[in-house]
Formats: sequence, C-alpha cells, structure tokens
Amino acid sequence: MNARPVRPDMTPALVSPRLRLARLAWERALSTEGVDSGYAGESGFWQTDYRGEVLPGVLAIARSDARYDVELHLRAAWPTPPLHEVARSIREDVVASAARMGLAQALGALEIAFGDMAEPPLGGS
Amino acid sequence: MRAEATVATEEQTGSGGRQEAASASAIEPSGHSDGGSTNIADAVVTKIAGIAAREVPGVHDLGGGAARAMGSMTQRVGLGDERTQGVSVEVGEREAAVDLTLVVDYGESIPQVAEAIRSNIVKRVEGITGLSVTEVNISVNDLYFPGDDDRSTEEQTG
Repeated sequence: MNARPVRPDMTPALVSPRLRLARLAWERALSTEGVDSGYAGESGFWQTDYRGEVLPGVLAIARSDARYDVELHLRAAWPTPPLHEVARSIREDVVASAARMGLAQALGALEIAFGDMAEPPLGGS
Repeated sequence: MRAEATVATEEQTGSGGRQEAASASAIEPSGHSDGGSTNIADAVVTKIAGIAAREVPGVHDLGGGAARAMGSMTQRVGLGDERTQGVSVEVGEREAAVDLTLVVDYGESIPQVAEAIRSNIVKRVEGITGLSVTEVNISVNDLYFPGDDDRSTEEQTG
C-alpha cells in the first residue's frame, strides 16, 4: 500500500474514517472495565498503524457499502468480569461515540474477540 | 435461550454434552447481536479453568509428572505457563468440557477436593464466559507429601 502516513497536525476531518473508527473503538475498548489491553496475536496481525503509532488489537475493514467493519481483539483483565457484559458495554460505547463524532454511517459490524486473559500472580488471586 | 439449548443437548446426548461440545468445537463460543459478534478464545477458557482449580485448598499442582517436569524447564527459560499446564478444554458454541490432571496434598479427601474443583470451575467459567460447563473430568495422578520439595532439592544439590 502506498498511502502517505497521516501527519499528526492533520485535523480529524482529514483523517480517513477507517483510521478514526479504529482509533475510536480502540480507545473506548481500553477504557472499559474488564479490558486489560489490545491483543495483536502471536504474529502481530491484528493491529492498525495510526499516525505512526501502532494500535494493537484493532482492525477496521472496508465494505462495499462504504461502511467499515471493526474487529477488536482484546486481552481480558483479571479479576475477569462476565465477558459478554464487557462486550456489550464496549459495543454501546463505541456506537454512541461514533454517533457523536459523525461516524455512525461509517460504522459497520463490531466484532469483539477475547483472545487472551491477564493472569493473577502465582500463589494468589 | 441458553437453558433451552442446554436441556435439548442433554436430552440428545444422554450422559453429558461432551459430544455436542466436541462437534461444535469448530465454532467460536460466541454471542451474536445485530451489531456484531463476541468470541472467546479457548486459551481464555483454559486459563480460567486452571486458575479456578488452583484456588481450591488441597490442590498442590496441576499437570502430570512429565508435564510438570517439562513445565518447570520451560518456565525457567520463560516459555511455559504454569497456569494452563494439566488443563485441556473443548469449547463449543454454548458449552465447554474441561479435563484436569493434578496433584493433591496428602491428607486431603480426594472426592471432596474434586467436588470443590468442579464447583469452582463451573462457577468461574459460567460466570465469566457465559458458557455452560457440561463436565469437568479430574484425574489425580500423584499425592504431594510435605517435605518432598526439600528432599528433591537435597538430591539435586548433593
């Protein structure tokens, strides 16, 4: 891909909806209780480069209808709350944030995968 | 919804849901909604089951003799994960089955320890993942006697 790197001084309107959605979903997920971090996978496949920084655990994929499906790959925190509740909370937060930022029409399906879990130290929980 | 699915499965498979869990193992444990799906990896279920087993008093260690020997070697070089050794899971769309191999402290009642492990794993896995645990198979492969570690350390050094 020959796309130019996005400059830090660019206004949000000049950043592509794909990157804005990836950034938004990633930030909302990481601010949710029960999420430890993004999970890029063993090979680092699930990550997005955003303004030169890497967002591990998020992909935004273009669809033919001008929307973007967003995949979040996450490491659950410990102690671990019910994961489906965590996912529901993330989903609601991302949808609301996308609407506030004028990205509701760009957001397609939001897939949430818990690929790993943070662990308590051995000898205690 | 899940209760209905579980009941139907038990009626179909008789003694347990292992067949259902195995046949659905290609499908991610997921919850679908209009906005997308939620998937929980097998590795997460394995870690939860391992941690839940270790929480029970009387459980000295997880894994068989070879697994523990290999585990201690790989952990020393930073490759192993003690929390998942001796745990294997089969995860279906809505159900999971867990197999455990472990060492029990000498003097503990093995049936009571096993029942406590079962109960804790079911509580943790169902509470965190929403999966229904159909069975927890426990294999006790050794007893731990206090002083075993001291003796093996002395043998290694002297």
